[in-house]
Amino acid sequence: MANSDEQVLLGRAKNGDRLALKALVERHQNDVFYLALGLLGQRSEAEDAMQEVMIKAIKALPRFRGDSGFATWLYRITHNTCLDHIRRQRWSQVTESMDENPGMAEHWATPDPADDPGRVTASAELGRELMAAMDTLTPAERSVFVLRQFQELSTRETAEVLSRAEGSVKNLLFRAMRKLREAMAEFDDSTGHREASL
Amino acid sequence: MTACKEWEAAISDRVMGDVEGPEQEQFSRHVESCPGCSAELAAQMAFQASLVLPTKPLPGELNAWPKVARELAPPSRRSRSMSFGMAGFLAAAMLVLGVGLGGLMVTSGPVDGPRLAESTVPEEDRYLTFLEEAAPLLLAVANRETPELVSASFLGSEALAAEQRAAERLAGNARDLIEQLEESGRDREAQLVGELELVFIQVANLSRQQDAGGLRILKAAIDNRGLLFQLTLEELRHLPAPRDGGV
Repeated sequence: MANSDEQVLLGRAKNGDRLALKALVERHQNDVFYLALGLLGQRSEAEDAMQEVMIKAIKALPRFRGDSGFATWLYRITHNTCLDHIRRQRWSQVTESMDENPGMAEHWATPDPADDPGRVTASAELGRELMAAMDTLTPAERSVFVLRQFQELSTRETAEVLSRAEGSVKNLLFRAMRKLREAMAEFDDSTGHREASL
Repeated sequence: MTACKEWEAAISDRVMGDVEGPEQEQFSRHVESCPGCSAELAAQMAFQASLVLPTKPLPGELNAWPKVARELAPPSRRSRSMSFGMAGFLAAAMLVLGVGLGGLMVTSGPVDGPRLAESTVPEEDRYLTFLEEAAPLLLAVANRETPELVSASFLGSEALAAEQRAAERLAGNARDLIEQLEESGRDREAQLVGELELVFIQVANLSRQQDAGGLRILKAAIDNRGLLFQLTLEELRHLPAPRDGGV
């Protein structure tokens, strides 16, 4: 979609045009949800956060000056909203075992008809391992990991969302990747689930 | 064996595919002679290749708007139960349309038509289709003279029966459309359709009761001002073009 199209939509939305607001919500809801899912780890939490983010964004829209892209601005709201959720519920409580909270696992396990069933199952299992390993990350490491890997934002975009220096983003990603690799290797050692070592 | 602290960012860049720039050239030279960085780079590259991320939601899988719209809607919503007098008052606007468009449209055009399309039809089209179907009936009632309304021949006429059948059908369509509009946050349109619904229910009920008194009250209400003032010029432009022989 052309950026100018988004600008027109934003202009209309700022004037309270409900159809434009609806279009903006529909355009960005998947990305907001996916980011929230990565940060919070549970589908129901992510859906709640998505709705909260959209409401906050619409209410704050008159103050959006366009200094950053609209998506970046929305990601920043999403990140802050998710951090609030985490603060409210404590980090350790929102990252319970996937066996008890299958929200994230459902997303790994979503079958593609073209996929071999065995491969889907294996992917779901690896996804659960990653999710469990993400519990070892600090909030900052997790944020960088999710924005870079889930949302595929650039270093610069990630830095903008998190209000951090680009060098800091790179270092946090390095540490996140190393921690995750080590955590998953430990998991493999203890369960023998994967044959290939990383 | 660990990677050199000062090259961690470069390893991160390399893993994410950022391989351009002088720093990466320096890192390439460094990694050839540093077993720690070489091992860490290889391990992280392998880990990156093995990453399995959650499946992204499919288009249409999520629908945040209804809840968001409800949160943004003004707290008060009109009660669905309204008195006949209120319904009549609201119906009065039919005269406004009669004045505005009456010269362009027949007063008793065909009012029986196909049911409003199902929910696959775009919402905007359904709203305009509803108005289009409603206009002939509204005008038919609004422009009819009082003596005709209360005459025995009219009360038993096929013309009135047809109008009342159309009113019943439109009232049914209105309920469905109102829900869709409310879900989409189109409160003004939802309210307008809700008011038209009450008018149609009134007309349909008169059909069953053959109530001359009710017809007089409805007609009197039409002689006041009312809801079609709420239609915008843009919406009016979508109403039907004049029919042949229109007065």
